[in-house]
Amino acid sequence: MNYEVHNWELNVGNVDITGVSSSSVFLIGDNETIQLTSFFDTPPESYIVGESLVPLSIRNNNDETGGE
Amino acid sequence: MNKRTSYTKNIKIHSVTISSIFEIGDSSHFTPEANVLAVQKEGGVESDVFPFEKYDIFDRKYTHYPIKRIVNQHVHHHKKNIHVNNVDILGVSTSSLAQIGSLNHIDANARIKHIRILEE
Repeated sequence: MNYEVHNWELNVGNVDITGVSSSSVFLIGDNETIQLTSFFDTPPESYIVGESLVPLSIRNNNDETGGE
Repeated sequence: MNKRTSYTKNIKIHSVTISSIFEIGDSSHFTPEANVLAVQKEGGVESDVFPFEKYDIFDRKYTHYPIKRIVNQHVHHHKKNIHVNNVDILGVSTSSLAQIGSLNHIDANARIKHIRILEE
């Protein structure tokens, strides 16, 4: 695949960012390759109300309560 | 590949925390890793232990592509400058980067798991 880029003026007035977080990048400049990978996990069994003696779901072996 | 020059009049960054970078200048590679286990436990005690090894999100494999040029790319900068007047950033956190200048290769990885344990 041939890919030709012609850059002319690039002027930005104001930038207002609250947060750049968890392996993120804010770049004013040129770049060649970007490869981003992220894993995010908030399954239902990670939200536990009241210490249930029997784990509600035994689907995966992750013991979410963490207490010894 | 020739790079343009970045001009910034004002930049204001309130905080740069948890292995983050604020850079003015050029760099070639940026390969951050962030493994975050966020636990909110009501009535949690000191002895509560949440080891990373217990959760498989932190060892899950993913396809990783080598930085090999697949695209036949030609870039022509007719104007050599990038102008940004004002930049206002509240926070740069958790293996992140704010940069004025060129950065050739970025290979970023973030793994975040939230756990909330609330009492009745």
